[in-house]
Amino acid sequence: MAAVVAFVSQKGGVGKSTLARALAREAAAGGLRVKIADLDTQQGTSVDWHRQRLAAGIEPVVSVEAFATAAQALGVANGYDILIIDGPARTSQATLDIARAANLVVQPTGASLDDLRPAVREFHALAKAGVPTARLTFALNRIGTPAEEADARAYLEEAGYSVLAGCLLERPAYRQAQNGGHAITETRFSALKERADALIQSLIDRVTE
Amino acid sequence: MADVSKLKKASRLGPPPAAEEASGNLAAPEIAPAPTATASPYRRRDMRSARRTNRTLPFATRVSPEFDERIRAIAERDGLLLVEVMERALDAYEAQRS
Repeated sequence: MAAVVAFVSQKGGVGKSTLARALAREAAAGGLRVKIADLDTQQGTSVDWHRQRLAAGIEPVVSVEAFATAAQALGVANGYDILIIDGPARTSQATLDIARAANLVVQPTGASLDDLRPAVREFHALAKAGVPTARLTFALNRIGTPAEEADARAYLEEAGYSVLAGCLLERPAYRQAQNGGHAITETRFSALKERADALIQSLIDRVTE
Repeated sequence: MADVSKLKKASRLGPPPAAEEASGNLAAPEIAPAPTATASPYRRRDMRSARRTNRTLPFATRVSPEFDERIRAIAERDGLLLVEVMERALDAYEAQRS
């Protein structure tokens, strides 16, 4: 049975696809059979990124497939070592199905209260529906300063949820990397690459706990 | 210097939402419903006969002078429109074939 890691959020642009791709890239580089299930059929961002990556001939090849429903995506999990669910930019009944099936549910969030408050409410809803909070974690993205990271981390922990170690900074270099079909762990800038590596490593550590 | 890191500093962001403030989005359907028209758009009243009878398509064809003479004679005699004669002729044709 594949490990299932799901990236969910009620918002767009928080980093679901960014983290899904980076995790998939690292898993594929480590020799695992990995599949990204892109559930945002209205945008298909990871599908587009995959096309870009194939066109640019970037190794390792990461498999991305679009699925209309969570059930369809979960149905193919057995063929892989790790199934990465790149959720749509809204939560629904399917989010609960995904959360129940996933080993880890990651909700990326920015550091503003406008991002943090609704993000906490989404996890509250999953917790209330019976998903163990140990399987829910936040990932901090688009962070400006260490103080901003610390404040956001403290806020989320106070709400009762874990936050992955490390964070992604707000940097054009990450966007540039992804524009070219790369993952953020493949950026040319070594300091940013290290940060991305550290965040993905803490994610992998959580999945294998 | 004393290590005060374990003492809690007041959060600059304020308290996070309480558990009772859980979102209601998990009840939303997986596939977002397409927007439905709540009120039908205003349709202007139009008493023209073409609209009333739904005879709105242009239907041009070439006919022989004899056919033209026949159909117009029938229309005039029975007080019908040319289209009414053709409709009846088609009905009769279909009735005969069935």
